[in-house]
Amino acid sequence: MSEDWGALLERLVEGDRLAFARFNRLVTGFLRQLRAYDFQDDWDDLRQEVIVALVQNARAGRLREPAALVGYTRIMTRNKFMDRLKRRLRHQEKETLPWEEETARALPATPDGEEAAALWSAVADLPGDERAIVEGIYRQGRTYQEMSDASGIPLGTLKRRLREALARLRRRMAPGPDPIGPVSQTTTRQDAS
Amino acid sequence: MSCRRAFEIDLLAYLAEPREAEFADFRDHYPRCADCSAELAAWTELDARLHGGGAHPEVEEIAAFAQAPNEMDASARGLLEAHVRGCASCRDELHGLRAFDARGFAAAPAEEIRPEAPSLGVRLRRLLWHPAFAYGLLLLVAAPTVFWLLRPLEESGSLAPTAVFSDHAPAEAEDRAAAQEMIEGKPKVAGKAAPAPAPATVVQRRERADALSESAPEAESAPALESAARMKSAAEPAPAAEGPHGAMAMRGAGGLMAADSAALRENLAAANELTLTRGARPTIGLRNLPDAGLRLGVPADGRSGRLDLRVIAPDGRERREQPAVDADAAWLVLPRDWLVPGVYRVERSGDLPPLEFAVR
Repeated sequence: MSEDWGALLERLVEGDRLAFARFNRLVTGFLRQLRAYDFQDDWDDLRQEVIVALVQNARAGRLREPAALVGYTRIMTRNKFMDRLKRRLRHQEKETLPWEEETARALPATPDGEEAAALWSAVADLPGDERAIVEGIYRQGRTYQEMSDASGIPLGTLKRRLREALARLRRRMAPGPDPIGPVSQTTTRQDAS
Repeated sequence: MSCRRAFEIDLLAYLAEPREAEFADFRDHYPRCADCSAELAAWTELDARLHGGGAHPEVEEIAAFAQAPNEMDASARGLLEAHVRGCASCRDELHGLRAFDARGFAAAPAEEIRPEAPSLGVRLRRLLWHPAFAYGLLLLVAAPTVFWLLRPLEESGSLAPTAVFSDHAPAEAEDRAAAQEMIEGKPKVAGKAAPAPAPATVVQRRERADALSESAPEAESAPALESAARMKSAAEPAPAAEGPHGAMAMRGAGGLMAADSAALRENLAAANELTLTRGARPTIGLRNLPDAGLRLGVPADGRSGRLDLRVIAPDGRERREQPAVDADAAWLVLPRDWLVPGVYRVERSGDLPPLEFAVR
């Protein structure tokens, strides 16, 4: 379901709580994509800055294109996060971080339905054990340990198979250099196979 | 040579628990490494697509949990609580929802903030090629010298001219949009009317110019406050019958409030201390604050015990504190790195009217 961001912004300017919740989710989603939560749990300051800037610019009549609203929010969130990350890493402000370049690709705020369907169609083509592991982890929401206990597969083996499965999916969805890498280097003592 | 660190760690474990101590080195490494950034970005995207939209509670659900958790179905609430316990982003989202205050949005001024600000070089070029810059520079150089020569000796220590004539240093990276706005908000062309409200720095320069003019021949009333050129030409006339110590109303300055120069001097005297008063908006210079920050005195208006204070920054951030009341005032410290240029609103407990101050 696509959002009418223009109408939501109007409601946000009026102080509507649910509209705020939607923009809150939008910014949080971008922060997740940026892996901001790798570094700290609380990004409330950044989120407030972005949302208040949206409100202020909306009031000033600067945000007339609802279609550009999501992109505008994404750029602002990304810029503010990168500034903070550079300070945290004591990186030169004017130099671009590789992570900054990687995340510069435009990603949807939420996974596209068609893309997710195509991906799960590819999951259906995986070997039986790999498919079961992927479905257990991602569809059923099990932890690796729960999946290992349920399937009887040692934890290390399970992780290796999951990684191979995901590498297959990556190749299937975006052909390129072999993404598996030295999977054999990740085997653990628990790998009994 | 490509980096293999992203292959050497348990990347699946990292996707699941990135904050684990064992991954501290990798966290510090991957943002700076092109190979590891590319690998992690690909896994992150795949992980997100596999989880799809069902990885986190619906917006309505989490909003209801933030506002009225007891009104939720017990089992739904239990599931949501369990999810939030294990999900950093949902905890963060919940925190934001709980802190939401519709009044804060109503109070936010209609200022322009752009997501992409021009580089420092572009901003400096704009500034240096601006006619008003030359007049401003002249005022900057000449006025403090003349001021200190003309003021009585016992008062010379009560005012820090640099607090008024501080230059517009570029803001930190995360506030560069505010810095851009500050620079572009300067008067564009000498002699032309500028849109209200004029920047606060222009107010103080005008006051200083008027203070300096006590020995200058009287002239007509000061014109509308527009540009440095106008300030220069208007510097000569003294405010009629008031001298430099009386209140000076700023005409033609849009939303600028009347400023009492004596109160301004008092407030600027201690570069790290500011006392709020009703009906006034004192200003302090950010560059002159020590690292310890700004000591803000808030009148208690007869209240005793502790005063519930909420300080709202120009960009919407806020701080809540409950300092003790002493001699009908409560004091709190705002760290220097929390402050940005702009107007701040201080809300006090009960039905006490809010107060304001400005940082430039």
